[in-house]
Amino acid sequence: MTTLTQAPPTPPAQRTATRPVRAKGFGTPPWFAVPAFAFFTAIVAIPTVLGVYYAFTNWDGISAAPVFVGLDNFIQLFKTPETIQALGNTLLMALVITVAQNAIGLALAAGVNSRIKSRNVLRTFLFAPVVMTPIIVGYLWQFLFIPNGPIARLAEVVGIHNLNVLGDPATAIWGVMVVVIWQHAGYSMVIFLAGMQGIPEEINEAAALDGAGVWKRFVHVTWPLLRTPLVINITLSLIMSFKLFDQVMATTQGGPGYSTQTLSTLLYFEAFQFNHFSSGIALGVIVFVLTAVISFAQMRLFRDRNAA
Amino acid sequence: MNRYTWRTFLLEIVMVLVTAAFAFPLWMLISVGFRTAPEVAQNPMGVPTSFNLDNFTGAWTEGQLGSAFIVSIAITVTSVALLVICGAAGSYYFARSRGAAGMRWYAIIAAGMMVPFQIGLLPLYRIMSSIGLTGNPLAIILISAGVHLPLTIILYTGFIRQIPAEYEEAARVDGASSFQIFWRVLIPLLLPVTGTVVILDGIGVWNEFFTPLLYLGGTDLVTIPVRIYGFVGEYGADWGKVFAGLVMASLPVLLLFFVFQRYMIKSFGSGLKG
Amino acid sequence: MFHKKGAIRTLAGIAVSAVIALTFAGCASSPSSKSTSSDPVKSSSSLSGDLTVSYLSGNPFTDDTLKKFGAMNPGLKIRDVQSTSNTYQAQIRAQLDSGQGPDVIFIWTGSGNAMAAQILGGAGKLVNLSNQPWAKSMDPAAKTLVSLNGKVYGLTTVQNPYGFFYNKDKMKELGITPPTTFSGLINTCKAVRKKGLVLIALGAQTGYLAYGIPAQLANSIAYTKDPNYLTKLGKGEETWTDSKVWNQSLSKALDEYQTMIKAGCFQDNVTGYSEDAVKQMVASGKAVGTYLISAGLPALRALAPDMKIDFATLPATEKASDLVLTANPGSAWGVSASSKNKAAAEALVNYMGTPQRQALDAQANFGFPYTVNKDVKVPAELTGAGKLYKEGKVLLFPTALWPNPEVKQTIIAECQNLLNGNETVDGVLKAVQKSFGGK
Repeated sequence: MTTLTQAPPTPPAQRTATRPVRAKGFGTPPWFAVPAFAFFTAIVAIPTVLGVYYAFTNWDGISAAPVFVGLDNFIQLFKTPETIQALGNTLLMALVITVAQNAIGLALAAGVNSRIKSRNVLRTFLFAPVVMTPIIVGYLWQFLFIPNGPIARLAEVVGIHNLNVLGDPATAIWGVMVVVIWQHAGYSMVIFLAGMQGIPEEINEAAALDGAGVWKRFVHVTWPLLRTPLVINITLSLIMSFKLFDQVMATTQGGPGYSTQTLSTLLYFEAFQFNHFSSGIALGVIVFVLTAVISFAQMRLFRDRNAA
Repeated sequence: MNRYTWRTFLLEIVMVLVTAAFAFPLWMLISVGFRTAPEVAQNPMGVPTSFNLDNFTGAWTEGQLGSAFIVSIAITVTSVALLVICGAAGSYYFARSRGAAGMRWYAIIAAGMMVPFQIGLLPLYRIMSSIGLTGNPLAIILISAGVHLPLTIILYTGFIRQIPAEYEEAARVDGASSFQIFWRVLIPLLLPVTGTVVILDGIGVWNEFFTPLLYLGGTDLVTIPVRIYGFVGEYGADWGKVFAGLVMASLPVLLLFFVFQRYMIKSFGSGLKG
Repeated sequence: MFHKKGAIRTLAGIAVSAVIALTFAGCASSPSSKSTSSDPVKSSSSLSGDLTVSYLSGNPFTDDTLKKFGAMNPGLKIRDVQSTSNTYQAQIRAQLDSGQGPDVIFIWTGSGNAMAAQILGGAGKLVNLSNQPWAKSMDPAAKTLVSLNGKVYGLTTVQNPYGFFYNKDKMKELGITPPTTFSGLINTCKAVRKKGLVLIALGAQTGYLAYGIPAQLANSIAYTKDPNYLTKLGKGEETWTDSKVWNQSLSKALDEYQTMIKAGCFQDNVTGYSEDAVKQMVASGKAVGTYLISAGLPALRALAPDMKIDFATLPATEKASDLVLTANPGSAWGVSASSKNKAAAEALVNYMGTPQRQALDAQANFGFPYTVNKDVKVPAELTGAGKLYKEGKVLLFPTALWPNPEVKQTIIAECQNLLNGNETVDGVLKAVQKSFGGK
């Protein structure tokens, strides 16, 4: 087990240790990538390309041959208010979830990265939601959110009456976000925790001896080392929230009204419930393009320019 | 800094309270799991008055969770092993290839993470059924290996790019082949990030729901999430049984996390360093 | 054309309740096990090979059917594919697409669902079963629901009453009786509200329950105007868009729905309650009863094992004689066109279609046969429905006859908005009109 805990060793030659090295010229032969490529091509690439074709047809998912219709599905989709609302919901959720999940994850990580005695137990509890099947987590929260149910009764205690989180169109989307953030904050926490553990204690202590306060130490010592975990965390939570599906299906199925409909739930309804398979796939293409654009923009923004 | 001061104590109190709030849904899960349906109907917030194990034994036997655990473990272990091997080898190429080709392919595979699974659902099912793999857990293993490959490649490639090439160059000078370098030099260096990969992929594969349902539904070889979700359809308002099943399904992974968390978090740390 | 969300919810609701119903029905009365010896149909034992059957999970009556059919055909290897309503359509459609689907498939009636008889039949995915023995004796209304262009694509056996299931003792305690006029209903609601309870616990988070009441009220009102209105719409003699009877009735029903909301007939925040949650309210005595499909009864029973339950249809007019029972077409069974064992598949559907199995199915599902049968044994929980049924005052729920799956989604979303005060009656009507797509 001890070997697992080792960091990459310092290289023999000191001069390169300061600068990450990439793409050294000796060139690994491409056959190393053959198994990975085979899996990727067979499982992801080919089915996706074949599937994307349907976005440009009128296929209903069950009857005879599809007919090519060009961009009709996309045009239709952008003309319907439900798509626009689902798009708005998805963007709002992606933004709030990404920010909140990472802020909470970071705070939790800072808390359990201290010398408190209960840290191991607390970490386990905080990580517990991550290991649960999302669709069942949604079901648990549907129970918690019932008006007069557990959460509403707790809210009574602090003076909030008549709470109807998932039933009120104004709050339902926030309820779903709470479920998602609750489930994934531990994931972000563990990744931040990992980054924090990489911070050599000596630097921190030296800074402390120099009289740097907690805030200063955080800004000058901890934060720069958290950049990589942050980029990973933001990317993962963005992708996850753009594809948000299970938790919505298990709690509100898009309702009440259309207030919690996301692009992914709309995709599913279109493709498999309403006999409009091709519109569903067109939505899938939209989800992919959106995710890719925003993720790459975000990576550019946060990239450590020295390392890149 | 090294001592347990009053500030640390204060932080401890705060963190315990925060965690308690965080764990409230988990407490409800367990408390409902131990009570009968009429009891829960009377008062959802009530505390279990006795150790009523009926829901747990009921969920275990009626849900055939025992066999589902074996299937889930087998699928997860095999998929993760495949991911580690293919991911590490592939990343070795992506990070160390001559010129920009490797990174270009890397970007394509990484983008695979953003594809909604529904797009390729029907074509993939057709492919699998044409080679006779529907109803076979092997299909889930292959699909998991493909679907989780992008994250695996991102983690491994990022890590390898942080490792100075001197070790490999030294081995090359000694006349080692590419494979020998990969096997003897790189693999040991990759152990820390492998911890990260195993955890993230492991959780991903373990919780996979729709794919196993589609491919394995109706066979005796279904996974834990499929079985547990079946409860929702079967018992509906009987939250006790559903929650008891969920507790049992989550406990093994949680216990594993509790025992190995120190190593895991260290390995995360090494995996992300740079 | 894109009003689609709650199909899953509706289906989830219906299916989950049906499924739960069956689970407990099976345990409570085990009607099927008692009758093993009386099953008269003995299939020829020449059937062999594999037979795959797909249906919504938690359906003990179907489990039992498969067990019995398997025992009669020892040469047959039967496999069951079960799924919940959130996933059933996607799962089975993906399998049908690859030509690998199940041999016998649980389907919905009409064309209002992606797995409905007319949609799958129209796509050539189902075998024409017109010549099977049960097809000839099937009730005409039921037959139209599973037929397309004169071909019968499925067997449907029971209809399930929709309505108000209540706690009899609670009613007595409050000194009230089931209202038989709309104004009586409103007064009862108010009286119950004054005592700190609600008359009808409504689980409007579950899609079908959000629009169930106005749809049933509209059905009742339309019935008073033209008892044959549904038949005309079903046969295509009139379109939904142009049907004055339907549109006026829906308009009035939605007004009544709003009156009910304002009178406090339901608990507050109805859209925050799922079907499961309102059953808990009835079980714990916070509500006198709940609006439900009869197939959801056993789940209520499981939460309140000793409660005396009865049924009442909701009144839409001021005449007690106008009361009419609304029933939802039950599940249907079809045979996959790509089945490699059609002989066995058809034999199984024929077994399900025997009068004996159909009768047992009705009992297990708390349903009634389509053709009015005066001798049918009515369970205590359906006493209030049995009377109307035997008088022949029974009408199918309009859902299955709606021209496309989007109508249901639209009306669910619109009714949820209405319940939340975010939509007007006119708004609902317009949206529903639009969703008919001119049909």
